[in-house]
Amino acid sequence: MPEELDVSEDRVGRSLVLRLRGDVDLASEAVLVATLRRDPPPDVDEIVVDLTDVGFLDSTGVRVLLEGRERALAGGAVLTVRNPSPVVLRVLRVTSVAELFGLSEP
Amino acid sequence: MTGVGDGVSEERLRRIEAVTDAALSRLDAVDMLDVLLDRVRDLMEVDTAVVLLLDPHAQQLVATAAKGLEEEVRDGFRLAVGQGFAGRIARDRAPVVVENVQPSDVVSPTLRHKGVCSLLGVPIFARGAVIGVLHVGTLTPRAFDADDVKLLELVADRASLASQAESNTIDRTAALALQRSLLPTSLPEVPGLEFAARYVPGHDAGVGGDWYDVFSLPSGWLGVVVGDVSGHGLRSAVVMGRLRSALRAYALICADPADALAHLDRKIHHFEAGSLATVLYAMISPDRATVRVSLAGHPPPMRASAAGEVDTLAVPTDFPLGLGAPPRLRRTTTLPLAEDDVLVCYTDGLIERRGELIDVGLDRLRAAIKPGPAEQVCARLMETLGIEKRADDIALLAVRRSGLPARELLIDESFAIGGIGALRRRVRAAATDFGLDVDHAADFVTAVNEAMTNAVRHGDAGSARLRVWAGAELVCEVSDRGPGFAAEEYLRRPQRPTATATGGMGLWIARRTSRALSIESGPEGTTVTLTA
Repeated sequence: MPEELDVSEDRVGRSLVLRLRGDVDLASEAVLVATLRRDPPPDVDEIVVDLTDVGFLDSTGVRVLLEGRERALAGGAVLTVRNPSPVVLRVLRVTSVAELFGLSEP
Repeated sequence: MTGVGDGVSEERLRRIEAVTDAALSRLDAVDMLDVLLDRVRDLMEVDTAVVLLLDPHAQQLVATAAKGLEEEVRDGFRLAVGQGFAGRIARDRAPVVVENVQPSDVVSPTLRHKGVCSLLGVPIFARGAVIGVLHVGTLTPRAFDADDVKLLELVADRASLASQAESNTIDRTAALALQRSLLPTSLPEVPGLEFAARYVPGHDAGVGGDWYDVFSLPSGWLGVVVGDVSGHGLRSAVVMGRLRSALRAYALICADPADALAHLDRKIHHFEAGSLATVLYAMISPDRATVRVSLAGHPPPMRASAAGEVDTLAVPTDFPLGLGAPPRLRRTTTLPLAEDDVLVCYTDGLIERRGELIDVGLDRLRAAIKPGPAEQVCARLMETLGIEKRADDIALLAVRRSGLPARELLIDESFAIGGIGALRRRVRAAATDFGLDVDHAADFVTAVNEAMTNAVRHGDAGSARLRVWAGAELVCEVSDRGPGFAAEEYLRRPQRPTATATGGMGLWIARRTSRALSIESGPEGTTVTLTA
């Protein structure tokens, strides 16, 4: 059974937390793109993409996250990534984007 | 003892012995010189005593040990032969006495500042050559006499023995280290192939201009090299070291042996002008069934089949490296390699005998090759060809295609975008069953996923296919029918590409999460092969 990517949103102060659930890959690209394509609301300083429940993330995911980050910055907000699993963190490090998303050096 | 003259007191004799006693030889050279100078200072009742040793390359005297003038050593004081007090002694090879030191007599700032008044210096000899200078000085005027000169010459002899021992050790250690770095590298262990090699430098230097090399490449192909730099001894070995290293670098970025040799030719012309070398560069495919060979003036490999037939590989011999002006035509020949075939690569030292046509040597070699384990092939060749000590280097490398363990096809599926996730899970299970640990398995899944993603993105709809085999290694093949792309370019990149749909990010990740990755791509489609 294919895992659909599920996204839930939460406002915490001036942060917008996007909780992803499922695998981030070619099949779920459209869902993630739709989520991150929206400009950040004016009262949001930070978009936090929570990856706690993401079991897999590939180059497609990295690309969409990078685009989302550009869009956030253009709208006056930062985009960070939170709590990636080891597998996901590996991909973020291999592509040298971990720091861009606020993850510290190992 | 050299004539110290009459009227030498018992006391003085005793103290001379103090300078030359056997206990001194148990100290290491630096300490020995130190102790020696202490005793000299006492014995001759002087205030300063210095040993300078000659650096023959720079023709400079270097302050090596000093009493009363320690700063000279500390400051690394150097003096050209012919300059100053010690320089004159070294140049003229004779003792010098200066009763009343004038500023023009000395160069050393330390000597000047100390206010040394009188100086006596003697050359230090070894095997007839000047290897340094020993001098003593006083802060009050002193008339050094003939006895003093002879005594100091005696001490200089002792200092000579000490410093010779020291420099020999340094030279020997350095030479050994360099030599070891120029010896052939160890042979890798890879599935499906067996290697053995012999290396006999012709010269006493212990290294020469011949070499062999075997290395795995990131694509899963294997590089095999045999080469011969003209000349012999250490000089050739140094050039060989550079060529060996450069060829490895080019092998990383060239899928074709002829290309790599062309690069190497340019390199030798530009950086090692005047050097000549012949090289054989062969690449063996990941499945071990194919070999690609290019020859730069080097004899072709011979191949023995399991049945015992020996042939010379039909590979044209292109120009040696370093000859004439590049670019030169360089060709790659692709040939099959059957199971149990043995390839024998060698340098001409193996087959040449003085006064003989080379054909005789080739025939002799051909007759001596019998199929079998690589090590036995080498041993037999070295024994049969009656190699006696001679002037030319010999390098010999035998490569045998041993059977790869049979592999099992675990997964064979066509897929489209919706099926990628499920196949990932199946690949993960296969990797775990194969025995890969959690991280290794996750990496492999990541790599395979990227290849699958590319196949769906860029290949014709419905043409993507995944196959996974378990054998000696876990291997996956993702293929599609699509327009193909210039795979080489993407694989060569040393830096992470930009994050665009066709930017190559996926391939970048796949390279880093698989042990070997190779791509065949053309107008008919693309196949990406990954090894876990």
